[in-house]
Amino acid sequence: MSIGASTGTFQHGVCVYDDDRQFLEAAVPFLAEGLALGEPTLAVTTPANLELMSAALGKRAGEVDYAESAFFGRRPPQRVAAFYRYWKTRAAARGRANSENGGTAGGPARVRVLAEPVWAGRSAREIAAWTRMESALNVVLAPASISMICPYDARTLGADIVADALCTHPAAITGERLSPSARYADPAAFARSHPGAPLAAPPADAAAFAFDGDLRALRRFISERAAEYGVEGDRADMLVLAVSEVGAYLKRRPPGGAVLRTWEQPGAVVCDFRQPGGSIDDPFLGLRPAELEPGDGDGLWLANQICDWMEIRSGADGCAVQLQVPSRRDQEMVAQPGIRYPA
Amino acid sequence: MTSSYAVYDDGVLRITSTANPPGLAISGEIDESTYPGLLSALERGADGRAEMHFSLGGLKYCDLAGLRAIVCATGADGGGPGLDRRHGERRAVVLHEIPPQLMTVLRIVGWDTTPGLVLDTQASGAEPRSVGNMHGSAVV
Repeated sequence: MSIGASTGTFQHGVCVYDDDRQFLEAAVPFLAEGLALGEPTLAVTTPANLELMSAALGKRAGEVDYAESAFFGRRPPQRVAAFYRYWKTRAAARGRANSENGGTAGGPARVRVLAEPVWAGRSAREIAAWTRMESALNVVLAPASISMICPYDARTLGADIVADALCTHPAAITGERLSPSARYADPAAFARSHPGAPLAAPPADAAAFAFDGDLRALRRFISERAAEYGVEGDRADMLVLAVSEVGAYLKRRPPGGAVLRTWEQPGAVVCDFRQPGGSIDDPFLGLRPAELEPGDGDGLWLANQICDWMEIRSGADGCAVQLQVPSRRDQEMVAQPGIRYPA
Repeated sequence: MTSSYAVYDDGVLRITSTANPPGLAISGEIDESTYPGLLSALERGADGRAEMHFSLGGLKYCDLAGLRAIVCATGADGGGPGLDRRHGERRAVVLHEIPPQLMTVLRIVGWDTTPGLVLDTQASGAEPRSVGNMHGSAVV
């Protein structure tokens, strides 16, 4: 049984490997089968594994779409969007080609993706976020016909990361053998049991704005704050957009208004919405890619694409949405304009 | 643009109808408070037109829902103002003077490749031309 065998749903398997041979025994047949079936086939992994894989595939390697893991979705929300976009664009193109050639399938075709996350050097908060994303993929990519296997390198990863991988993937792959993961956890339950660390409390000298539903006033406030923090030009415009979309979302939910506080910390400008009495119970809010067909939380999805971090918390005393964008000290966008947003 | 008249103006969002090219010039801010005004202007401005041009140079803010409404004037969501949903009718929509932020959002959300949508990325001041038909990847 291979993971690409059936159609119509997202398939998600983990491959824990101890050496290069085990990596290749799973990756090469998976990718080769995709090529044989004419499926758009993408490998997102480390440079070392891309080289191994290319050598093993030989001539066929030239037909594989590829990306280095570190650059295919900088953060989990962008990663989800990158997978989704690959499916939408490549599968739709193949569907059109099929129908023009008199083929049977006119709709989007199945794609397959080898997707190895980067774990080395990540903070505890990032590891938690990427782990939650692995679980959330099973829900937010459910409509996408993607066959995905995620290699995990047991030589370098902590035992807890590998153990969590068996909870976040419904299937486990060894070589070409696919079996259900006995430890797979329902994604909503997994999200509830992995809520993330409590949000940092706003410092006493944070600037505060009582948001009563007037989005123009909210935008004026955040625009002035951005200027105060030295966040300018396009970066300020995008921050204003993210904050206004979060405000619009909170405004639509009872009890409506919220308090926005902003401050600067090393590496980030933080925007913290607190809505006393509010409640957000969708653990996948802000992760489902926006479509032309409107969906709940599309604005939060956009904010999540724009910001370095968006954290949502909900508890007995209300709900909170916290955004972070790079501070004026960030040099990545100076060195490589467009690195954070599509150029 | 040979003639224009205001079809919506609430002091925050101002939309004027343009005859040549046929379409709307939009300036000000689009969020949920001005969204109904945008929709009604789209309905009226799109009526019977197989091609629409939007001049966005004066747009100071546009949320995702507003951008969606403009993109959906193509009929890409199966509807579109003034289009016959039952027959899958579509139209060409040409965006001019697109603010950089809006271009970034179009790319993030992937609507920049919507069939029928043409992004005029030439420097402002150039005279926009008709795209002819919506099926070509027209340069305007």
